[in-house]
Order: sequence, then C-alpha cells, then structure tokens
Amino acid sequence: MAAEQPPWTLTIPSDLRLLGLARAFVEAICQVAGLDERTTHAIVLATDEATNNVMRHAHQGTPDAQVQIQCYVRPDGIEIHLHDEGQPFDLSTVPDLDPAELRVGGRGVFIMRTIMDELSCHPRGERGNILRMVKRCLCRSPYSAGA
Amino acid sequence: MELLVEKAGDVTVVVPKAEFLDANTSREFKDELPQALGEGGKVVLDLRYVQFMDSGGCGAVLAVLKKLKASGGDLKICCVTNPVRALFDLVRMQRIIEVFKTREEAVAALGK
Repeated sequence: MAAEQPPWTLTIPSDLRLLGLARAFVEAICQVAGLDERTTHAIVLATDEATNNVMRHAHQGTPDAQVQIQCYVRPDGIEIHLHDEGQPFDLSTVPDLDPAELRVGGRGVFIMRTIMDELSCHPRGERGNILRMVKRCLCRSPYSAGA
Repeated sequence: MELLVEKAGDVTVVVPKAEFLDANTSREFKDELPQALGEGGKVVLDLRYVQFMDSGGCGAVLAVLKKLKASGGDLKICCVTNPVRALFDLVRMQRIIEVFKTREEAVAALGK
C-alpha cells in the first residue's frame, strides 16, 4: 500500500485581511479534487469560519501568530487541519445555538458542524490546537495523471 | 467598502460594491453603513455584488437590523447570489429577515 502523500499546506500570519487567501487555497484544492461547486463552496465556507475563529479568538488579533492549514485529499473525502498557537480550546463546550435567533454572533461553529461530517479539536504539544474537519465526498486524486 | 446609496420613495437602498462580506470586510461595512443611512428608517440591502458571505457578514447585517428595529425602522434584503443564498439557507436567515428576489419586491414590502 502506497504511503499517504504529504498534505497541501498554507501558512499565513494571523491577519483577517488574509482570509481570502485561505479561501482561495482551499477552493483550488477542491477544484483539483474534482468537487462540484456546491460542495466546494461549503468546504470553503467551513474553512473560512475555522480560520477567522482562530484569528479572532485563539490568537485574539495577534498578527505575529501563524495559522497553518493542511489539506489531505483522499478518494473518500477531504480532511482539513488548522494549526493555531492559542490556549487549549475545548470545542465540546461550544453550545449548539439556534442560528435563527436575532443574535449578532455565534454562528461559526454551527456552520462548521453542519457542513462537515467530522469536527474535532485537540491540543498541539505545549502550545496551540489542531482543529480537524472532514468532509466525506468522492474525490479525484490530485496526483494522478490528467488531474 | 464602497456603499452605493439610492432612494426609492421613503426607502433607502444600500448596495455594497464588494465581492466579499466576511469577518474582515464586515467591520468596514458596520463602520460605514450608519453614515450612509443617516436617519435610518426603512432600508433595503441589495446584495447583488456579494459572492461570498460568512457568519461575520451575517452578524453585521443582523447588527444593522437590530439597530434599525430599535429605532422603529426595518431592513429587507434582495438580489442575493447563489453562494449567499446557500449560507442563508444553512443558518435559516430567512426566519430572521425577509429576503426578496428583486429590489422592487423588497421596497414594496417595506411600504406595507
């Protein structure tokens, strides 16, 4: 059995002005994986929510911190890891809020949970967390000829 | 962010000339909109140019809605693109704010 290819990786400063770059990176990978427009938009939206959560909450607007996005493309789906440098974060403490309430914030995690098939967060060594998101869908290998 | 402001009777129509209304640009939107609206009142937000919106964009729109409602005004949305409609369906935005296909329908709804 062939070893898994290394993930496609983007590392950016923790600056909200770079959200578009994070979206473009994931969108390009979804396109290479042959995903349809609807699925691509959903994965891009979930990644945007995860990235802006890290920048605003985990890094609290500190541009010196780095956000790393890793994408694994597999035949049965896309797995995205977000590495942050923030304090330990327990995703299970984020309540399931009704998004249809007239409330200004609190929809980001709802969007990620709704779009992705798996969502979890684990500590990363002494500092930081890894948010793991999986979307199950049929993907074309980006490494095969004609991809 | 450039905001086009037009009048349709006593309704103010605001058109953000922006491709993205996200956690970054929504800060500009929230800062600049009050100046564009002036007194507030009845407002239609025409989202024809917005190709991507996230929860930050939703929050900015809902902050405006809350403010307008608190002062007796109201806000309707029109002309959403497919990606924005997908987001609105996901977060059930239509249960909080009315969304119309055309600007004329949105303006008419505020006149009722």
